[in-house]
Amino acid sequence: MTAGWEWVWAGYGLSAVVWAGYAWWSGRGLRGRR
Amino acid sequence: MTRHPVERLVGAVAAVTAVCMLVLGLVIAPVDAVQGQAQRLMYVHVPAAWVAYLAFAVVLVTSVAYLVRRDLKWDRRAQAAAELGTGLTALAIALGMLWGRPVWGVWWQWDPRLVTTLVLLLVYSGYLGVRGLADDAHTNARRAAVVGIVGFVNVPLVHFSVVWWRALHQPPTVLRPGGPAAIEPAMLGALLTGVAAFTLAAAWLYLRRVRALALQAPTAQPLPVMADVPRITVTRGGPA
Amino acid sequence: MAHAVAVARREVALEAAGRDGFAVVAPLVLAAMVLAGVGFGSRPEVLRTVAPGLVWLVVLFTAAPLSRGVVAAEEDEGCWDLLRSVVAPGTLLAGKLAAMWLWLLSTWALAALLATVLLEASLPVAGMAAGALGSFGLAGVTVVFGTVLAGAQRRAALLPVLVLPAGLPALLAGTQAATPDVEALPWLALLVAYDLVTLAVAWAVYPTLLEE
Repeated sequence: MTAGWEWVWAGYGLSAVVWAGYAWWSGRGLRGRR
Repeated sequence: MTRHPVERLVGAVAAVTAVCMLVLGLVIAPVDAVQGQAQRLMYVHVPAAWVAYLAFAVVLVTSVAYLVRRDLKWDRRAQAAAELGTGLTALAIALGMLWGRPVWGVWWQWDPRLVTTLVLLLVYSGYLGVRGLADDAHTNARRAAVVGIVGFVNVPLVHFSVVWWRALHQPPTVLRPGGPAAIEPAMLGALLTGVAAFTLAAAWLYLRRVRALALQAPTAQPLPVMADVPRITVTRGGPA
Repeated sequence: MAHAVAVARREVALEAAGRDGFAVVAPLVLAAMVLAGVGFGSRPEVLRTVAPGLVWLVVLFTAAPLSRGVVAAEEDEGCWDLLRSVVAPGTLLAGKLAAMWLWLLSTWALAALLATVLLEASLPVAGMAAGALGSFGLAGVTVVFGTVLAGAQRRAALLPVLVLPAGLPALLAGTQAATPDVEALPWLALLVAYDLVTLAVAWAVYPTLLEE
């Protein structure tokens, strides 16, 4: 049943984008400074 | 390599847990009879909301700690928690809307939890807005700490008022937002794994952000500017 | 205690001298009620239904401009530092709170009066009690946030964001208490609790806010 899967992909995809975005943003002051 | 072992460990465990959550939530958990596939959004929506509230509790604790100790390290921890919390609150609301639209046909409902989460977003926004106003770090920290504490007292009050209000105007059971009618073990497993994954990921990013803020803090002495060094020139001369 | 009264009287004197206070928001209230009548359509049942909520909405939205005035007079005259060093925090809070309560109560009264006249709403006694109680809690919130943002530039944008969530319980309870066919007593009790909590928190944080 494909009905409903598009909402799931949208939601999980959004979550992944938010987490990745925050991971990148929060590490800004750390790059090159292991 | 392992200069920050705890941080790396938390990050690694978070990644593993996240993969487990995806498998459990998208594959293993059965589809809900009433809500269809869209119910799987519960496994990300609830964890996001949970971490958003947890972050807010951290903001409270660190705000009080700052006011008591006046050490800016507590302010940095409060800021990191608030940034995480704001993003996750917004995400939780968006996910709730993506879940609600196919299942109930509406983007929004005046349910106490949803209203409180929206109010929380407003409070977080105010908190972060207050942080940037002054040049002095301690002034910003003090104002933010007060806003954080006042906000933390306010949110339960708001929630309680809205719960009472909705109790008067009971929506029909079909439209009431919530999880599936009966929660199966596999669903519960997916949900708890999701909560764990989100919490660990948030903890990892929190530790990183606190470290980054500490590095940015102006504690180091500024290096001398080359232009200030006097230039010595030697010219041939001597008694005429 | 006497000092608190003196601070409060000073606020009223400032108001009379033309500072931003009730004089600024009164026209706003009138405009809002008139526009609501036009905007919500002319069916009396609709207007009567929205009237209680509208009154409190208007009061809440005037809290933001009113909060700007909490320390505006002192800042303009450069005597905020002096006032802070001379007067005890509790006293300063009490005085400002009393004055702000007066302004918000006046705002509520004007809005409620206009609702009765323009929107044909009826105002039960519980609604009036709610007006007094709700405006007190709201005054506490307004004074605290007005003081938090003393001396800050982006005040105007931030104040609504801070004040509106904090004022939500007053809005909700005040509206319900003024709605006919709703049992008002629990909502009045909620307002009392809200007032006590706001007062306690304001009293606890005010000394911190006055440091600089």
